[in-house]
Amino acid sequence: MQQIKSLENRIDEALSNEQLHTNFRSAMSFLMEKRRDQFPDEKQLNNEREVASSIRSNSVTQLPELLIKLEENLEKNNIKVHWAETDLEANNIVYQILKDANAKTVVKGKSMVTEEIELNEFLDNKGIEILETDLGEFLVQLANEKPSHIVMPAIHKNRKEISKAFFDHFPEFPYTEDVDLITQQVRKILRERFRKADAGISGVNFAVAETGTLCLVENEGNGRMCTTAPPIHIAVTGIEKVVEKLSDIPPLLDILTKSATGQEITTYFNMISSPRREGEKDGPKSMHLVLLDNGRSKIHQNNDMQETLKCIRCGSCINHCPVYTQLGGHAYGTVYPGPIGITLEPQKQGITQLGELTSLCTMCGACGEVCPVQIPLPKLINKLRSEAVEGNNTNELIEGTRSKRKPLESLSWQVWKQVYSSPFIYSIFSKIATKLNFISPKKLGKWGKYRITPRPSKQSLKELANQAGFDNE
Amino acid sequence: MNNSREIILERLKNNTNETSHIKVNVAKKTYHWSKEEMIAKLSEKLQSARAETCVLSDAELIDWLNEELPKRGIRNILIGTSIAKQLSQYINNEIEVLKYEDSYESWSEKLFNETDASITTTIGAIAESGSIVLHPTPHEPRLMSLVPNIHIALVYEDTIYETFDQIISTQHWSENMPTNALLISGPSKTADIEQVLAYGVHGPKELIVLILTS
Repeated sequence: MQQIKSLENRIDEALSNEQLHTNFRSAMSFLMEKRRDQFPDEKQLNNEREVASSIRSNSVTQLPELLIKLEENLEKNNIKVHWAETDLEANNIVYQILKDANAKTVVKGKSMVTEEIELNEFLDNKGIEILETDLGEFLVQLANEKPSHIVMPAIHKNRKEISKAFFDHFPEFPYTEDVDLITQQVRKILRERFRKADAGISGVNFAVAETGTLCLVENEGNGRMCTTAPPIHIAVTGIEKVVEKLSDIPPLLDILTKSATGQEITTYFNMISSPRREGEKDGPKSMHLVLLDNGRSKIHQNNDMQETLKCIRCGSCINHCPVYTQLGGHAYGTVYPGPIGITLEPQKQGITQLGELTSLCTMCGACGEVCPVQIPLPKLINKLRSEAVEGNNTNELIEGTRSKRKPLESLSWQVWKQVYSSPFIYSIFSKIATKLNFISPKKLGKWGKYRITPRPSKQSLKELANQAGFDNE
Repeated sequence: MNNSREIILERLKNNTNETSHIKVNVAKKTYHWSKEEMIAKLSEKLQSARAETCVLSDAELIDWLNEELPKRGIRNILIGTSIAKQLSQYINNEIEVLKYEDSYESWSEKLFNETDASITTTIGAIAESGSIVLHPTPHEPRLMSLVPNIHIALVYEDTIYETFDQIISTQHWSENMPTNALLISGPSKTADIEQVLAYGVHGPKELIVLILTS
């Protein structure tokens, strides 16, 4: 019950925040338009989605084999592979690597999977300084907040809010709301940090099994800094990010950047296959990859939901979601918001705790239409809704199936089903409803909070049709 | 310790789904561009990402450098050891030529704080997306194309490919991946504040691509 209440509170809060609305509405329109410009030919787009979808389906269906191959090739390339079943295990692995190397300061590139395991908080508690270096993430970290979008983390903040947070932390710089000047100030602060950091941490966009290569997509260059300048590079990724071949990369990269930010390509595409080799003068001296499960293998076992794992985290479903646009990312209360969030998070954390999230969907279908790897998000969300009330409660693959079943709600639907499946009962029902329309409720609970409550009319459609001379068929 | 590996793999193998491999029908894109069209496309795309481009003959390169470097206030330039021999003796005495001869740690402060520009070669370029492609080597280490404020890249016209896929397959990357492979498609940029584009956030503020004709 606590969760329901707090989700509702968060929604109310989001809906009453005008500034938030303006920020999100303009950002989402901007991203939708930029994406649309990249795909002028719908037929070609659908061919490209088909290709990307097959590549990702192959990755997911062959996941165990590909992970073994990836591990083998990474180890050959001198990149140490670690497996973590849970978030805690992943955090401990990272901490242990840092501790063994006596590393005290860490620079980090943007990575949703490290948000998922709350690595920053974990390392912070252990006395390790961890600094976000993607401009948006850096600003979010300064404000002591969480990212509100998986691709554009500071999208909820306008430049006034950003300038204030920046100036509060760095009063030595003159106050400015000029984006170029803020950017240059951050450049100055962070370059020294890159140079002096004991280790760099990053996520991974694609891991190529065939060659043992970790690929990173970015515009700023902080990802390259984090993975090249410090003596240690630790990459953390979900196990689903593996792809089979190097030739899978060009079509995926192409559709990822176009779908995510409407860019034909990002400034940097960084493919790392080895730490510094003998003779090389830079690059990390040691490299690690942490492969994180954290609920993914359970999703993999669930044939109905397995497609969730095809996601390449472009954020396109989020950008096109009318509910997300109204609420923003924080109202969801989870790391991944929007359509992919409400599909993924209840599967990982259980329906008992997060089943309500699936109600943050109007079933408009936009997310499924734009998904570059053709994940049928509306179908998956609907499946989760049905698992929450009608599911088999011995289902071991999703926690909390049937946990959202409410006696009154299920009774109402039973009655509805009876009424609508019998013409005789239906005719009695419609007579009562029209004749006694004055006693229908004035307010229909939460549903009626923002809507005009409908009332049955005095005459049913059937009666009106009869009066107009139509035959009863 | 590796118990997790076994648990995860065991669970993944437990899936009862038929694991049939889907054939991926990638229609290999070809544009049949001529050399001139490739140069034009590459230049256009790079410029739209705010990179500068210039088409020069081999012989004009030195003149270009001697004229343009001082104009841009470049006091020193980091040149990869493989091409330094060719270039350094001709470069105007007022510009200091830096070489990446020692390990990064021994001179990181100078690299980060005092190096104005760098020149690197490339192993090719991609016309479709407007990208230059680098495989850093001991002669041209990884950070050369990232840390200095201005990065000048040399692209030989014969190494321009139409697509990313073409360069990967023609150059047989999968059989011999370099330690680091990079696609660079403009100067460093961000749109994290109100979607306003700002350049030079962490990497080079300027990218200059010199396309060399033979």
